[in-house]
Amino acid sequence: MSEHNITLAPGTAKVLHTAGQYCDRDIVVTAEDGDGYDKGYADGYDTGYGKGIELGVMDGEDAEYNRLWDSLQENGNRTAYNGAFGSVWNDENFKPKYDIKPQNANHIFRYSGIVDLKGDLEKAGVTLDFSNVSYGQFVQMFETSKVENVGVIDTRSSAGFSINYMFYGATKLKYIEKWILTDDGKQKFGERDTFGSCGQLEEIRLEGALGCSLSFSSCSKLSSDSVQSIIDHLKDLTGATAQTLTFQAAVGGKLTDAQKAAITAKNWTLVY
Amino acid sequence: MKTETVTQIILTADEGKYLFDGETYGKTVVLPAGTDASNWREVTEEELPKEELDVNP
Repeated sequence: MSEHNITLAPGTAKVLHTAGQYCDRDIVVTAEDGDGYDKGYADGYDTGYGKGIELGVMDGEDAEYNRLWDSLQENGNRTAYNGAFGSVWNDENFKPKYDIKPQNANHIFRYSGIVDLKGDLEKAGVTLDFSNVSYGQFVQMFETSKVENVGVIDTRSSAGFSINYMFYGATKLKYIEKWILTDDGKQKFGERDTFGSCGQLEEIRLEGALGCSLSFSSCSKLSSDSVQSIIDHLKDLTGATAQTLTFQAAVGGKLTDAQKAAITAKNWTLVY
Repeated sequence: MKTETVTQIILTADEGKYLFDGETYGKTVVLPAGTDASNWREVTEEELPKEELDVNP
């Protein structure tokens, strides 16, 4: 009788019972079982290797993401965002790690390729908070950008300063969920340039009071609810200098007599 | 019930013309009562300010 020393991988071999033999010592690993072991080893190795690479890449991407945004946003302490997210940024690479709370927001998204700003911020789980912007530094904020959906824009901190070209040339701009103004209507925006060439703007809702002349003459797609929101939030300028509200001709042509009366009753001039 | 009478001055440009006050222009201008309408004058399209736009492709 010979003795066999065989190393078996668990579950890959079976014992053959043969009459008259010491079945407790004659252990045969069939060719099929051997192939299974080799195949299992190879598959396991491949899977593990692939998984290792995948996890390594993910770790690398996480590290790269953290390095990029920690640096770009100064570990969440950045306040000078002037010109921060220009033409190289889009919905693929705009994934801020920290809330964006600028003191300077001048041309922050000027020429930007970001389309769904609101969606991108929601996906990233961060907020865009303009409450700390100082000295009216909102100039050219979205000028000639590709933005369609900007979410909520709070410009109350600009009181006392004149802001120009905020959305000028944002030809794809469709939705401004809410534009928050001061309640006293003392903010000043460029009359013709704020929404100049914003031909796709459909929805805008105002909060607070608009107290300076403003033109929507490029905005031929403004919804009736948007128009009503603008009218509802015109500051009552009775006894003060009249200001001018301009709509695109077709939009203005749909205004009711009641809407026209509401505009002029607050000492505003309506143009369309 | 509250009843209000709102008086307006409505200017309408002639065919092919616009009303322009040096800043804003349109075909129709609705002014609050008592507003000086002399700031508005009729101009041709060629006299209107040209928009300059650097479009982001």
